[in-house]
Amino acid sequence: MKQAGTLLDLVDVEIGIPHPRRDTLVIVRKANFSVNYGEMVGIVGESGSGKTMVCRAIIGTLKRRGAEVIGGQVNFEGQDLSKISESTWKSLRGKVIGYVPQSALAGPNPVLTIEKQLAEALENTDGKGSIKERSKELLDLVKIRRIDTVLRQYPYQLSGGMRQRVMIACALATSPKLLIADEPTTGLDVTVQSQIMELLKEIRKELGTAIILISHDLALVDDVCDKVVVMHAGATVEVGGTGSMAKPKHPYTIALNSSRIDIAKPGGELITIAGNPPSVGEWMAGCRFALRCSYKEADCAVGEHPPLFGERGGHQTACLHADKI
Amino acid sequence: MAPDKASTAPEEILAEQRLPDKNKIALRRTLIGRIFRSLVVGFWVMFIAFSLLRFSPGDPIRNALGTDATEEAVAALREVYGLDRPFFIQFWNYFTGVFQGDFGVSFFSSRDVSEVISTHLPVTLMIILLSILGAVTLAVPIALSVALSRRPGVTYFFRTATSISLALPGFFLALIGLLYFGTVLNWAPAAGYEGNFPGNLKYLWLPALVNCFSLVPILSRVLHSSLMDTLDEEYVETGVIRGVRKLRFYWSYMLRPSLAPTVVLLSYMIGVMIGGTVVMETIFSLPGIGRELIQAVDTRDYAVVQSIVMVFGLIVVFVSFIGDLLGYLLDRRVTLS
Repeated sequence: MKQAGTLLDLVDVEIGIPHPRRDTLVIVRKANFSVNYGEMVGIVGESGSGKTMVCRAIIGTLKRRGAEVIGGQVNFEGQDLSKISESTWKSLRGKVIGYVPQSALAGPNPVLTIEKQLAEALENTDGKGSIKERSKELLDLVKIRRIDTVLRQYPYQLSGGMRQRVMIACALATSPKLLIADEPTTGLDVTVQSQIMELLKEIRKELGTAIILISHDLALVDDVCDKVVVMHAGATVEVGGTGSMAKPKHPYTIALNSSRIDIAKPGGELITIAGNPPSVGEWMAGCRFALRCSYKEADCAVGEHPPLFGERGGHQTACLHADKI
Repeated sequence: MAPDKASTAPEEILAEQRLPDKNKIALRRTLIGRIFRSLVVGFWVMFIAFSLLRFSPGDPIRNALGTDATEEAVAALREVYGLDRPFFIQFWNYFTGVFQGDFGVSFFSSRDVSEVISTHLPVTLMIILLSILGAVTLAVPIALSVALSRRPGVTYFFRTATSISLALPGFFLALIGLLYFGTVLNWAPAAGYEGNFPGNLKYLWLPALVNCFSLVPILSRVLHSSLMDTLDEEYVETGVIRGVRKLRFYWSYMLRPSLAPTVVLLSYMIGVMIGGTVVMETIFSLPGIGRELIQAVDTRDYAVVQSIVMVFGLIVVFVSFIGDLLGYLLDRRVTLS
């Protein structure tokens, strides 16, 4: 059942918001990474780095936000998702790709019981047993107990952790090949966070589902994922295998790494990254991290944003001077 | 996968505390509380309606008998209606009477007040019902289509059109409508009335339409802004991804989470309309309860005024209760206080 090879491959993806009179506002340029079957990939970056937009490009919900893929390819099992029509999306979206939304608290529909939401997710799938039986199986899979009670409840009656488990159960209803979890632990307390992470790890192990985990916690992602993708100002700046982010090669990743709270010295000052990421629409020429970079050299601020250097599939860095770091 | 007992414990406790059965008990308790509160409000409305006119100048008996009535005749009639007794005795008699279905007798026309109400109230209620039906069937699709259209021009047009519609005075629209539909096109009779159901529609559709000119903008504006908030919610995205079918998506993912404020506003608007239809009733010469009330106030017909005002009060209390209940049934996050 488990397949080998590349499941999802993003090549130079550009996402923009077209405007009838002004120029298209580019929010992602040069997003490059791939996900293999059954692989767990983490995407890390500050707020506004384009993580969520990349996800929406994969799940096909850019249009309703007025954005679209304006360049590059989003290859999913040999099909370019950026080129398919809305009617094709309907048969694809939520079926082969599952999605766990950003905030656990607002994820489930507040006016429907858990049972109804699971039934909606299960509606167009085939499997053994009635919808109700399969709903129970799904809740059992995400380790919810007192299943009969939870099925009758509304989301507001559940805790944040429970709601997120329900969302994961809904996303898994169609046995997707890829599960996208957009900051699945935002707003949850630390113990619940680690439970959700454990759950995702187990799902991957048991079902062989590839998972894209979006987070701004580099340490967490480096810990649980097979591959880490670092994004800054709409571009992929570093891609590397598990554990490799302990020895990052891009100045931004280095900065992220040293600002980790868990490795800060007790009583010492917390390290932050100087300045703010450039706003969308105000990107400068050359490397978009150059202004905040302590390794900056003259050639950093000219031309295009540097591409990812290094072998695809290995450790890649989008820095002209990575060898000097 | 063995469940991790120790770590899931706090969540389980939370789930247990809020069992659906306990919710039902809480709901029942709230409902009983609301009904009790409605009774208290009803009593005070009754008391205030009863006392207001009595403390205002003017004498119903002299009005009824005319200026050349003798003092003896006035005193005699006053005794018949019990107006010579102390205020609280009068109130007590009225209060106990109402519970036996006796609303008293009009000082002026000697008709039973309950009869006055039962002939004229349905006309007013019918106007309001038609107005609401019309307003909801127009406002919901308008708000929904404006919210779903991503073109800024549509929203701009919507805001302008609703402002204009809201700014037009109702009585003005009513007069224009009467001139055009009543005399030019002959679609709506300018006067007269027929009490039975399908027949009365031809007299009532125009006043209801005029009411819609103010109701539709108010309801659709509120619904539109709730819908815009809902559209930004994460669960709408989840619904899109889940591929929920069109009609169910519009209902469960857009309207149902957004409707509660509109429903509560509508129940409030019904209260406003009950007092306000008198303008429509006068212009369209409809035998509604509002006109009866105005007449009764003119002649200081205590018995009629106090009962009509009480009925108005009870309707408002009832409708706002239904509004809150509907809001709760649509979206369980709404709390019934």
